[in-house]
Amino acid sequence: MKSNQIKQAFESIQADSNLADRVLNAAEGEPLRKRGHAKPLYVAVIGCLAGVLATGGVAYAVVNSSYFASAWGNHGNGDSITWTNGGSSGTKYTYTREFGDGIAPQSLEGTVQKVNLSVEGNGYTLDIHEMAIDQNGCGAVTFTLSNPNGVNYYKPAAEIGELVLYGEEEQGIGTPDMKFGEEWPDTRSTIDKDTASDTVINGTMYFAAMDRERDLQHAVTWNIHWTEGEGESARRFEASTPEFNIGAYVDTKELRSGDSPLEISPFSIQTHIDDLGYEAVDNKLTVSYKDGSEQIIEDDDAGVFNLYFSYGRNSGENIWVPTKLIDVEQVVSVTLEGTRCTSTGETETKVPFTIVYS
Amino acid sequence: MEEQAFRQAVEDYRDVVFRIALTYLRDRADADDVAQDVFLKLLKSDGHFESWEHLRRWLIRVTINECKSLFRKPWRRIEDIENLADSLSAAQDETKVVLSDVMRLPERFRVPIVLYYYLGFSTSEIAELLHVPAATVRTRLARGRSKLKFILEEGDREIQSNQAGLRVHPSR
Repeated sequence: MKSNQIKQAFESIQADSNLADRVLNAAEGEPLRKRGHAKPLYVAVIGCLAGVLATGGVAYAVVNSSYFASAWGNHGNGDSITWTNGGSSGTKYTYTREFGDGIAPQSLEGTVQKVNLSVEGNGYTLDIHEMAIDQNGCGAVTFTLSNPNGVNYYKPAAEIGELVLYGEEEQGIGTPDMKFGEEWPDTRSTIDKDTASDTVINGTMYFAAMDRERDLQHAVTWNIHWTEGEGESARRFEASTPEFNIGAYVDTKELRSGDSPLEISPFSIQTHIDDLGYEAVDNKLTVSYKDGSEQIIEDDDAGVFNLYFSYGRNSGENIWVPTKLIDVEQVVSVTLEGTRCTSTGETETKVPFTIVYS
Repeated sequence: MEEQAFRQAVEDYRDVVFRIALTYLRDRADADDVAQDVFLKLLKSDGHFESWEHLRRWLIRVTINECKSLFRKPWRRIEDIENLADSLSAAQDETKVVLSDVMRLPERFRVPIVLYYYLGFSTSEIAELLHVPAATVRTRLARGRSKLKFILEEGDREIQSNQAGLRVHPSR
């Protein structure tokens, strides 16, 4: 194969010639025509399931809270779920996600904020119940989405616990989202399988601000959008809850590895990737506790995916939002493992690295 | 952005945006959605670009970000690659084979290959676009070429080995 064959092959692919009109019409208020399957989500893992998960238990005083039971429990999925990506032609990757038990350490007492705001549109009601947020700009909010005529959600996603809705379909709304002022955080919504019915969905929206310094200065709204009419007369509508002013943030604790800081909270881990000091690709993140147990957040090689999402902020930070609460007071260290790639001409080598933040 | 400039930008770059999205997502409908979202962001932008090249790079950057957001869906299923190639190109069978071979590569190899050989970015530029070290890009290019089973003709473009001035980012 010659390299110019790749160029020629890709130049044979053409985009829709009506793209400009579609976008301009959408800007005028018409609904965007969505034909694909996906909704925004930032998660990153490549790997195969290779072993048994090693996740420790930690003994601590606990908070009795329906919020933590809902938001940091298993959402009716059991202890874990497994899924496979890959098609008939490519390699298949299997992932496993373990869930928390919904029991919070005593240190989180008083951190849950009552929201109690609602928004209605296109026959749907979104009730926002409670939220907790940390100083990394990450957290979770519980909600109920209902429609007496039925909630139109995407069933394949719900099979593994994710709530995805399509606003373009008749009597549908898009997956609810959240804003800090005018800025969207990254969000992912789960569905509580145990309590879901055709007309009422209880769930949790996990979120991570894209820029904590900027976004946390603003009040929060939750939003739904939908389409009314068909064809040329179709129009897109949006509705938002009243603003909610965040009252308190759960503290983060700084761990260090030399000059590199890591901020950890019960809901998230944030590293400053520019401080690593060398070229690196991370593939495993482990929290170690005083009793010797470990909480594996991510392990690419083993297909362990114990997080709701992770992503790299443009400001140079990496964020992980795990599926299990982290008992920060019991943490002794966080270990980030990966590979450093070096290259001299055509000779390329990979050298494993391990960074221990304590 | 003004409508006339917007239409010109779509005319000039819709195929590039669509092809990058397709490279990531391997699904025509998803790629079409991404292209739509990217140009909607352009329309809503302040439109202050220093040059047409600045605009092109901005579009590619936004496209990659959009694709990264959509690509790794737990419930997402990859489409059949052969059918994808058939649906995309009315070109010769040889072209379809090339598309199939490239599209069959894992994402970490597929995307750098396309950015390098189709769009002509240097390894340093790809490193910045993908937020991975340039050394990683070079490794992925080498492995991608290897996985294509054929050695791309040397001399077309030399893989750069200069690592100076790189930002350091673990891959996400």
